[in-house]
Amino acid sequence: MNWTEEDIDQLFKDSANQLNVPFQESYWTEMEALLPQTKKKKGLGWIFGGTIACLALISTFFFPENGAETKNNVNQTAYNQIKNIEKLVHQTADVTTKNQSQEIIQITDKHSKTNKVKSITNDPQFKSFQKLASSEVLDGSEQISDVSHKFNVQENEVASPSQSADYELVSMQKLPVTPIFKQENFLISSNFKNNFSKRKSHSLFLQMGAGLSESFMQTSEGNWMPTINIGAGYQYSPQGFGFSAGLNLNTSFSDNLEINRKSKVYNFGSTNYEQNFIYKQIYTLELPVSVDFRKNRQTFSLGIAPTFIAGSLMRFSQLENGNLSQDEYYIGQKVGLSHFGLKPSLGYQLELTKGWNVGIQLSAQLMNQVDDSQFVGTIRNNPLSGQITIRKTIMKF
Amino acid sequence: MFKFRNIAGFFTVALILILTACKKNEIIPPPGSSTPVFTAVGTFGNEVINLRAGDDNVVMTTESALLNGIDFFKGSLGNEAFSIEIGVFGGDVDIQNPPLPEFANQSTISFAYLAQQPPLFEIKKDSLPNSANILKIDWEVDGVMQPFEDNLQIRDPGKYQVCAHITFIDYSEKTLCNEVIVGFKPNALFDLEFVIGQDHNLMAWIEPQVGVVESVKWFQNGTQISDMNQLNKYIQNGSHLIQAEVIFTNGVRSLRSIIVDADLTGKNFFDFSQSCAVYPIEWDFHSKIKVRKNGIDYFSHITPNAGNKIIVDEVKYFGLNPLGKQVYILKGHVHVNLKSNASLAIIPLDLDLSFGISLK
Repeated sequence: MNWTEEDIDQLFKDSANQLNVPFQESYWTEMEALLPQTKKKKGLGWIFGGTIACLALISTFFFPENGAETKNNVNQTAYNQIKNIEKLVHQTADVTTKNQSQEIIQITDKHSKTNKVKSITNDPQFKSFQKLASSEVLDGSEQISDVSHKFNVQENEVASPSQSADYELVSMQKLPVTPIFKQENFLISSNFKNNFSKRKSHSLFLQMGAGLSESFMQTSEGNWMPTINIGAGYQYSPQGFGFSAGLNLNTSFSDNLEINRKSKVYNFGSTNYEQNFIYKQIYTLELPVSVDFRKNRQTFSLGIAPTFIAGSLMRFSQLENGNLSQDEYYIGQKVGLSHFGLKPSLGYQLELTKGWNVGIQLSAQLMNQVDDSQFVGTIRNNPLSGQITIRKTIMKF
Repeated sequence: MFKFRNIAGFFTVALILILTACKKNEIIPPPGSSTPVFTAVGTFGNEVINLRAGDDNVVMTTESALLNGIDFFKGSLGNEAFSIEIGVFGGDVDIQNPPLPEFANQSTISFAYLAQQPPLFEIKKDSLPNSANILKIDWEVDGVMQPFEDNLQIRDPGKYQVCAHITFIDYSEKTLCNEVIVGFKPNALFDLEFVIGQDHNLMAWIEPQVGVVESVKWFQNGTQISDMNQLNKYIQNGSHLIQAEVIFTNGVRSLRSIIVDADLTGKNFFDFSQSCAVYPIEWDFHSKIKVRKNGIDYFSHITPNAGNKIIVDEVKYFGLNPLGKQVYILKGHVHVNLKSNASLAIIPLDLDLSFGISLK
């Protein structure tokens, strides 16, 4: 057989017209790599959590986020992932022929139930993307409207506990239209943006903390006393400015807050009375309110907390003429303590994982808490304190 | 929102429980400091005295004691090195319920004084009308046998129970006891006289010297036999104890005893309560001060203090002492001379007082 130039041309044309890209496993692998990975939940041991919190906190200072800011409060990570999907679709469409049938992908937000309909090609190469979306291989069916599949964008994957949204591939229709990926109104990414903007910003939380506070007395033995607290509160935390309020029960462990009372009562002789009060624990109720500024996973706060000393655990001993007549522990005494105080504070919180935050808070007591006329030693009028806190969001709305 | 209400309610209730559940045991604060109550500030001779009960181990003790049978209301202020004791004798000691010293109504308190001689009360055997029938007399004063046989001497004021253990010449023994008051003013004086006839008829009567007799009761050997002022009674042979309980209108009650010998052998014994008594002094409601310095006692009653007194500025009730006795605070000034038994030196004591004295 003699091949003429026309025959050779026809052969190339036929081959070109019969171009068919078969499905390859590499496509799936490639797409899988683009999907966010589901992380295993971490243990919540205090030490491990605290270590992670500290490392995370430090890392935020050394590696601050930079790059383009997302619009309308859409999470940047999720936004980028959507862009990657779009890019893949466009690459796939570039290898399709113009006369091939097309499909409509209907994607809906489970929560808003608003649909956006878009057309994509039904080219076999795009079926790899269909497989990605539906976990099935679609072999040129005319309509796959019953196919329903979720692919969830986990909030821990997009690093925002409040930005969880589920998206559902409702239907795919084969339409005799041209590929749409180059059309200007392709709106997959904008759909995500709108849904992310509707995330929940109000929350209730429980909080625990531990730290150190300057002791009320200035002594050479020790100027710090440990503190722990537990509390609950409400937080409004959109991106940007928000606020929070709560109620904390704070316990300070003191060992040098001591009152000595002496009196001498004359009678037929005299009786020397001596009472010693040593505060071991001081229980304080705090009503913190703060203005917060949230940027992604980080929250900075500036607040103030009226405080009320609710009670104490105190060791009391009494001597009469040097003889011990009483030695016991009392609860609830506030001898020599001022009831009310005011503590301004600076705080920082980092969202570690879903519902869990760690933070640090620095505060100073503005009002004198102890009566310097009664206590032994030099009073520290405005003790500073610092605490590391762990906050758990218990409800969002 | 349902969850939110539940959570908010939980924390509200928890807060209320926390604030209210802790039952607080109130700590009773110690009594406030006070200033010394009992003080004595002044001089003793050349020494400055500043005693304050409660300081330097100085304490104020008060008590009402019987001193030779007489109430002595006293207080003592001081420590081991130096102490002052101020006491006031009771008065009207022969009255059944003698009154307490009325400090509040007194602006001054005189000092008791006792000269060393002669004895305040003395009975000599030889001076008795029937001394020839008495072999000997052993005297017992408040249970203490006296050193001088036959004769009795009492040198200190007081109210004594005196018993005479009489041995007659036939060696028969009898005991006769009477109350003897020495150094204090009597509110009633009387003699108990008797005569016994050959017919064994006993006649006894009261001869009042001071006071008005209200009633008399006669007893024979412990049994009441008459309530007439004069006793006429036939008594059998032997020795009889005849007693007269005499009550005066001023409240004086006196029991006198005699021994009557119905055998008419002269073994009688008379009422010695006051027959030989002399009353050169009266210590009723008088004061006596003692200072003890370094173990040496100095007394006010053994040196004349006729011109010295305790000037009373104020007397007020203070409270009960540990013995449950009422204590009055006597505020005033005292100037008195003191003397020790071992020295002839007289040391003046000059003090401003806030002193406690206990009453019954």
